[in-house]
Amino acid sequence: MTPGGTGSRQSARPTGLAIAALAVAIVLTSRARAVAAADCAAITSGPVVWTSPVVAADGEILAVAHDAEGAHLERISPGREPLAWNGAHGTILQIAIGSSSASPVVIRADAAGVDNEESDSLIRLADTPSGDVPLLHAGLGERLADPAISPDGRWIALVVRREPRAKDRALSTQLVLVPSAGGIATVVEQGEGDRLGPSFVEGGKALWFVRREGEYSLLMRVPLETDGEPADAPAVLQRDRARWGRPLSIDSSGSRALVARDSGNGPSLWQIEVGTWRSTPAGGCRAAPLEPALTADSRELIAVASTAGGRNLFRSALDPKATETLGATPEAHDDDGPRIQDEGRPDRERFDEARARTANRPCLACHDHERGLDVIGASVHGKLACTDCHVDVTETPHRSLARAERVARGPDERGRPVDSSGRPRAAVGFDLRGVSRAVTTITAASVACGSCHPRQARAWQTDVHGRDFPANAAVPGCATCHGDHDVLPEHDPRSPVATARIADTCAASCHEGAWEVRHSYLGVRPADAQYRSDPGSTYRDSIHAKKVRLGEEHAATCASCHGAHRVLTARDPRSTLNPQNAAKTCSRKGACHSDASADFAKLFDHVIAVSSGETVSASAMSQGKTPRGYAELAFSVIGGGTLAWAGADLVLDALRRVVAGRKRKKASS
Amino acid sequence: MSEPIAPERLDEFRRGGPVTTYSRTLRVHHQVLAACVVALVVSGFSLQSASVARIGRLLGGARVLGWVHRGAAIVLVAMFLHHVATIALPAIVRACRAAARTTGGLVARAAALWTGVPLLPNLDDARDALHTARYFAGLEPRDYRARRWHYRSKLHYMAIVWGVPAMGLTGLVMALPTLVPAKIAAFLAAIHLPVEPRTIVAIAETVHSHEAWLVVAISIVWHGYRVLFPPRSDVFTGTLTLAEMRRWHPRWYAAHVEALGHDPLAP
Repeated sequence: MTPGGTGSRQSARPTGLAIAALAVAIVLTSRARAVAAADCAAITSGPVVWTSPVVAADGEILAVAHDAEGAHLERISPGREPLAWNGAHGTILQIAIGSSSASPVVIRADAAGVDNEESDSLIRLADTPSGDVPLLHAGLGERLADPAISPDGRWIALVVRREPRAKDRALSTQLVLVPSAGGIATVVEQGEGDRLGPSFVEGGKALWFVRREGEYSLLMRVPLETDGEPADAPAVLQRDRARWGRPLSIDSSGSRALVARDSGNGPSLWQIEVGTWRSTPAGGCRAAPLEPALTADSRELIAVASTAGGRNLFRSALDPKATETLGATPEAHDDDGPRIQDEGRPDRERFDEARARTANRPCLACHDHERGLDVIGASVHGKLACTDCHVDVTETPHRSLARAERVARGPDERGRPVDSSGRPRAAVGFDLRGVSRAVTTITAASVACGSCHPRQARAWQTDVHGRDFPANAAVPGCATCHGDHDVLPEHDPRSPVATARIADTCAASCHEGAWEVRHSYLGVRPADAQYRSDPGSTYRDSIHAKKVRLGEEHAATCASCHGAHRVLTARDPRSTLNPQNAAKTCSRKGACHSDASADFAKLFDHVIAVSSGETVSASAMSQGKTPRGYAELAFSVIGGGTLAWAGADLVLDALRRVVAGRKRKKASS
Repeated sequence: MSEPIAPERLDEFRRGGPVTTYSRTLRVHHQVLAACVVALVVSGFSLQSASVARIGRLLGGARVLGWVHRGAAIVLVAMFLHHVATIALPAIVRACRAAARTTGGLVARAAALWTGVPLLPNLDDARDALHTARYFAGLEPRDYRARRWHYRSKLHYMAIVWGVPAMGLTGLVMALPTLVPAKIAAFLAAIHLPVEPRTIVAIAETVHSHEAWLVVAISIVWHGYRVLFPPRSDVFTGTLTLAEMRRWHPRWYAAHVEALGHDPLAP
């Protein structure tokens, strides 16, 4: 499977669709990667979104095209008609073909029932032209993905994903084998974590797949019996501290694999030599090799790349020079097992740039004008891919996007999507409102955030903000305070949780204005008293806020006393402001008042008025009835009198002088 | 009610001036006071007011401003104590002795004591104030009929006498919030005046802030107007010429003329 051949010669092959002789020779970053430029030639063009290309042994490409008329399964091959399948019965999400492209297996999303909930099914198209007889039907809340057909055509391996719910956040997946003729599926492996990209190797005697565990990706191997039962427990072939896509191609001996691998620089193709654990970057198009497929001779790559107005198929030669240029480095072994040696991280700026160019590029083809995307590169999450947070977006076009389209359209007599006025509806430019609900809902974003920030998410789930989640989906979540696309580190002054801005963030959205409190406030006051509390104004008037305004980094903010992610009411014994703990909060390391006592901790609260009466009018609780109010009154009498005298003395004196000056002038003239 | 004329002043007057108005100690006190007030006002308002927070950041931020404020306050209080010890107390002691020498009843002695302290207001000052009112109304050609101390000077002095302890004490409450409010509360409780520490802090903050505005209005704006229009500089030079003395302190000048027996500036 050594890459060979020249890309320019192969890409010049004519196809059924327009071939743009667009050869883009680009070195991704001059310093980061010593990959010789590979040609990248367009196979398709136009405002069409292509997804899920697969390549048959004879070089024929199958892919799904989403255009103005809907989703079609297209056959891209010289002299052949496109496969007749117009998507009227659902949206094709992924395709798999065996030795021949004649009867592909597809995973199809069907809208079912009156509420338009979707379910996935595994369909063999040639057998079921009407699409009615699924080989496997996904259960409620399940999704099917990554089909692969065994060399003998008897088995279809695929992944069943049980999507994480709010209460059950861990993604659990199953790797299953389904008989091609239909029948009961066999579970090869199942459990928490993501599994993807099963491939039959060694002539169908073993199944390789990728398992993701945290920041590691594991290449796994399961030996198979002839009846499709696993012969042994899955074994780890390779552990790599990088995020792997599904294995593209594994040669028949099982000694080499080609993977899309992302160690932080954005995904790039890598060839893995399994026996010696060597790895070399495999080159490819400049754009992220989205949904890449390998030709049968392993010399070319068919990938989807974003273009103006659409997303088209490209072919790119795997550059044979890549291996020679970079060389193969023997893998360093450590306790974690063999690892692929990274090519060395470029500096941070380049890193972010490269990432923004690659991982998110497919998303940006459609979402370029999304709010906040101009700042996401500078945010703390600038190096993440969109789908790291938008976890519910797992395929393109997005599942919920396809559903939104189907819901909106009234299919015409040919089953084509039309808009409300009856005109054919452009497939690019869907109504996106149904997309990525998990992240557009602030609270669910907190769940998405929790996968990387579990400690904070757990704290949030017990505090006053998050404890009602998920029963109440409108509670304040991560994004309420931290922002969404523009999340910045706490020390960045532009961050909404920066020292200088956190009070505004808390007050402006929720904690502004005075309200009556009827309990023992911080344990200071009798429980039967009524208090009028105003966190915003009392904080802004306090020395804490004044110091913050002056740029004092260590001055107390809301979070200094109340905590950041686990904010509890003062009555809670675990609260930082419970009378038992308040002195500790003021005097803890890093706080200002090392000698704080419990009495001292009562000095500052947000109460602006107190009355111990049973019925207290709002006016009686006004500012004037507080000690501060009385002091102000006294001072306005004394100080006001003094000021009045001084002002009169000054003004009258000045007037008198002016009058006298005029008189003198008159007299002299 | 005439002020006693210091023999040294009469000697200077006899020699044709200049006449010493501010001793070196007083000049130092004034300069220290002025510098401290400016430092306290600038640092204090930068700390206090959101609208000048930008200036505060330029001046070094909360930490620097805080220490400037505390430092200036310590210097000012030290100067205040020095002034009390070297100027005010001796003057009061002198007045007490003079009052003790006074013949007459208790009322006469008390009046002598009161008038003997140079910067305490007296009936003459009330007449001066009335004179000023007549001057403002255009009924008098000149405002100044002062002796050594004008009633305005006395008021300003009293403002400092009140202001420094008030600002010092309330400042102390805020500078040592873990210590002073509780101590004051304990003291007040001991004299059967139960006040919560947080009330003390609230009052201290209010008094400190409002008094600061008074300081700005009186010591900088009003006092500035008074000493700059027209300008007089004897608080820096320490002396006045006889002409200036006659202009600013006509009755003081007249007292010297009377004591000397002739007017040195008479043509």
